[in-house]
Amino acid sequence: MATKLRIAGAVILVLLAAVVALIGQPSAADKVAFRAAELDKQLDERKVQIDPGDLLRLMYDTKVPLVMLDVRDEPDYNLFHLVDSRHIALSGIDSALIKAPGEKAVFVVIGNDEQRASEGWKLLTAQGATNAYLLAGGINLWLDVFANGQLTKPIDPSASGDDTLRHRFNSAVGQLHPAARPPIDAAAGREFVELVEIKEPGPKVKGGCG
Amino acid sequence: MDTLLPLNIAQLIGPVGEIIAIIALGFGFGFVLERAGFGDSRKLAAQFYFHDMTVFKVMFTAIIVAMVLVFLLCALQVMDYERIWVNPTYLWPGLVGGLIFGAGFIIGGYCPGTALVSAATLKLDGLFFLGGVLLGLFAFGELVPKIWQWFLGAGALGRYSLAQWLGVDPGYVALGIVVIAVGCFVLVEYVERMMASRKEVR
Repeated sequence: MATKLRIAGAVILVLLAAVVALIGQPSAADKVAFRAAELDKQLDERKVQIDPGDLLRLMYDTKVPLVMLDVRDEPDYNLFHLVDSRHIALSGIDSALIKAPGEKAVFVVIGNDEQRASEGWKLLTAQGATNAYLLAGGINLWLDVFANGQLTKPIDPSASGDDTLRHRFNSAVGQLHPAARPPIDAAAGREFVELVEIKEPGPKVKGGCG
Repeated sequence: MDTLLPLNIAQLIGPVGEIIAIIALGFGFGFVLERAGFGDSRKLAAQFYFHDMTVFKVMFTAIIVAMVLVFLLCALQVMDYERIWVNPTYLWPGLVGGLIFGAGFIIGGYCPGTALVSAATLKLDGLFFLGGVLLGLFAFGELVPKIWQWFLGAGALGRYSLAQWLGVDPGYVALGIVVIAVGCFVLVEYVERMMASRKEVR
């Protein structure tokens, strides 16, 4: 009887493990789909879109472990990007990226506008980033606010679609443009809500047998 | 909607409730170990002589059951694997520590957890072993970080799993380990029978 029970237990375990292997662990896209309603609600209520003025404040706050992820196409990134921002494709947003800078890191996803940045924000949040935001209005709004016409050509009138860089540059200036890191008082007089608050990550269940 | 598990116990039942839950779980774990005979160093040490492999079978069964259930719940998006604590890997300290741990287990007949179980029933050998554990902890804490600091972080790989190392879905790793475990159980039972028959011949 005991032997039969043990054999039955072993068979059940092997079958369950086979089921786990067949289902597979959820991908980043699965996790986004699972939390779609909650994530869309936060986006709709504009709880995570931070103003350029708020991001500028964070860039100068040495106590905030800020990670800026620029999810635009590489040519746009080469034309202009914020100092210390990191170019990354949406497919590169994984749990390893989230864990690397520590659990209290503040992630800000940057696009030309908000469409692609929203996708990046969803990927970050669904994979466990506790403090994730996106730049409201993207680089287009950032340049509207901080470029003051310096080095940029007149705005490209054909660039009316979402996530297209509206500002033109004579050459790829990367982070050498003054607007890549404007002085801290550049946003003085601009009204915005400071949305970023560093949240503690949820508890990690520890266990073990010594 | 966030995943259901792991539960935030402190949030659900408050900090006092959390402490009570921890004590209850610890008591339950210790009680089960004691009832299974794991407070007896002779039973624990017998596995190293292949006479009684109960400890090996129980512990390996516990590991594979927990592993399959964790990854099943994660696959069904009931649990978030990223929110479960996984001990960071420190390769060289792990290897050296494992050797010392194993040697201590063979010599003393206990691991630290079972020594606590044994001490709870006031077994002398368990109490002595526990004293040794505490002395070792103290000596390590006082000496190693001061004279051998580099060793503590040697081979640090962070949160690193077999699935990452092999580059496959954790489900396949779980299936592989379950199959290995079942194979090991069959093998050790054969060895147990062989050792028992040798004993009879003597």
